[in-house]
Amino acid sequence: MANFSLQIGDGSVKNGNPRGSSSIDLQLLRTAATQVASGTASMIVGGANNTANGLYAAVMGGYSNLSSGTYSVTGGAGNIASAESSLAMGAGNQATANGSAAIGLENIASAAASIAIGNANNAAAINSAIINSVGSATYSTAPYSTIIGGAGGLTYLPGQLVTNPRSQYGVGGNFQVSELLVFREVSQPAGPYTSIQFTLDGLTPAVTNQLLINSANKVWQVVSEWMLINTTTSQVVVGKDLVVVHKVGGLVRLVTSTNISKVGDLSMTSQWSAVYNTANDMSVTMMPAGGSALGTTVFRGSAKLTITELKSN
Amino acid sequence: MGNYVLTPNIGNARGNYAVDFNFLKTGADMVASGYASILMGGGDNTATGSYASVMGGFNNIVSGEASTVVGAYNECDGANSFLFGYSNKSSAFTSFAGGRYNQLKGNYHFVFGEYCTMLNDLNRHATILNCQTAYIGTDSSDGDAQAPNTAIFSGGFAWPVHEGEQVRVSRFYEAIGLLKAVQSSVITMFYQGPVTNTAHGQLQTNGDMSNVPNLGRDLTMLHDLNPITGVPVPLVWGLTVNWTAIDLVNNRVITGEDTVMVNRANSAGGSIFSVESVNIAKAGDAALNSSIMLYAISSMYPNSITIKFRSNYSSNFRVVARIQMLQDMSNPV
Repeated sequence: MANFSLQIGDGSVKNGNPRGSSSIDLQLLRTAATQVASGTASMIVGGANNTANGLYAAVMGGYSNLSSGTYSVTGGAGNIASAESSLAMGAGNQATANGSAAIGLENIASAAASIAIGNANNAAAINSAIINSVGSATYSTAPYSTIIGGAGGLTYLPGQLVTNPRSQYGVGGNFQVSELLVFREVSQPAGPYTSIQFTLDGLTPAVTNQLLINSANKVWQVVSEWMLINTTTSQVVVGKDLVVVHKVGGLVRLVTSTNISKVGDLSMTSQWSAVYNTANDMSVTMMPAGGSALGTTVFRGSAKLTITELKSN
Repeated sequence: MGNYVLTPNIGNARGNYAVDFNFLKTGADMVASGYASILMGGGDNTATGSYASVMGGFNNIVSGEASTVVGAYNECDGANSFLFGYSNKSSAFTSFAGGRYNQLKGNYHFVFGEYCTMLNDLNRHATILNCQTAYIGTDSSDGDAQAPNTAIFSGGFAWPVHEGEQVRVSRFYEAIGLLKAVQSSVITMFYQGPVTNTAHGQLQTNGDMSNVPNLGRDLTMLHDLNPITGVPVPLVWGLTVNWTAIDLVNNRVITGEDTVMVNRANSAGGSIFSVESVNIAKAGDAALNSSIMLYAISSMYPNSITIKFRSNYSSNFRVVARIQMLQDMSNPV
């Protein structure tokens, strides 16, 4: 198949290697013969030292960019888009997972469909995003998480939203505000009600779905807004608690809470409260004060946790 | 007039002033046929809109005027829009989509995620930063709320329905099914005008100061359908209402926080079942402390509640409320 290049690909550094079938190469400057549009139907619009060797890959211009993933796109300086449908624009960015995007300066988007925008961010959780932040990161344990603005933020739990991270006490989520959801639906047989522990994925409590604090030394100030629904009787209770958690040397030494408000159906408000204990750093459990169900009863509950995180050493 | 085409003998005629660098095609119409359109490279791309461009990739189609696409399998028939990634579709004006499998039908949208749907132009100015399977707009059988100026920040299966609503965190029902229910939102409501001990002010989501109730300006529960039974799934809200009221005549101020429970349980497809609220705190001018309160009641509109403001004396007030909404389903699926 034909291609279109402003130079004949003779393998020299000046003219570059042969271009890919059906490719477009409008670049005239390079320091290596491989810096050409060598991928099938690839494209280099201009600039210097750029390489488009992926299938349908494109370099929009600039200097020393590499588009090696299928359908990948780069532009700017020193960017790498190495996975399918990845995008790296700006300077020194790397988009290395399918559907990922790194935009700005020296960001890395290494998980599928992740986004890193800003400066020196690292998005390593699938479907995670870092928007307009500096030195922030999403851990692989935090799919669907987001960091917006600030510096030194960290998401480490699924669905975690971090806003306004600050780097005064170092990077890694040492000083930030997080929002999280925990939830659960359980069926209880006739007889005394039993406690219901919420989890990050709504499944039976396990190590993988707990509120694990990422640091060995940290204080969480938690505002817990929760609700519990008896879906059998259609009765509801809604509450709000203030919780403090202190982890020292890898062990949680303190979890204490106070109830701020509780409202709903009397049979629920008098029966249920949220309690917080140290199991797996901090657990959120709906605790009955007694009472029994006459038949099988299905409870469903959820809590939104607004967490101010502060490194304590 | 003319154009610049690398393969003039292959494919249909190019548009005037078009540039076509696309070598690979499996159909004769995969060319830059729009006026001043561009195909910079790749394969099987099509640019039929005036000033439309495909900057590379595979099997993209741009028919919207002055729109740009890069990636694979993207389709854009809206004007002035930009798509990149995989299999995004836009019929929106001046919109942006990155990621994959997103659909934009309203104008001025921005989405970066996957499987996100912006349903119609009445829901314009919406933003999705990072979400899987989000809906902005109405796809419900029992509501007609329009949701312009909304935003979704993270999670999955999010669904804002109020003007200006921010869904900050949302979660899949990994354990429960694939309905969108557990989400935490922030909504702002406003009122400005006269208030007496009998004529109370009504806060509205769109900041309309007319004090005239309108559908879509209250807080409305929109329900998804149970995929098994086909009936709407009832919801429950837990609201934290932080509010501030200013007496514009006497230059006094008071702030407060209330907790509100709203239950539409036991009435699939029906109206609000119960609304309960409690004031947590009030602070401000002592003269207002005993004479001012916010309260929530069932709305005159289906599946909605109204946030009202009352004063024991007549004056002109400006009231704002920031509502944090925790939403869950109230029946098992």
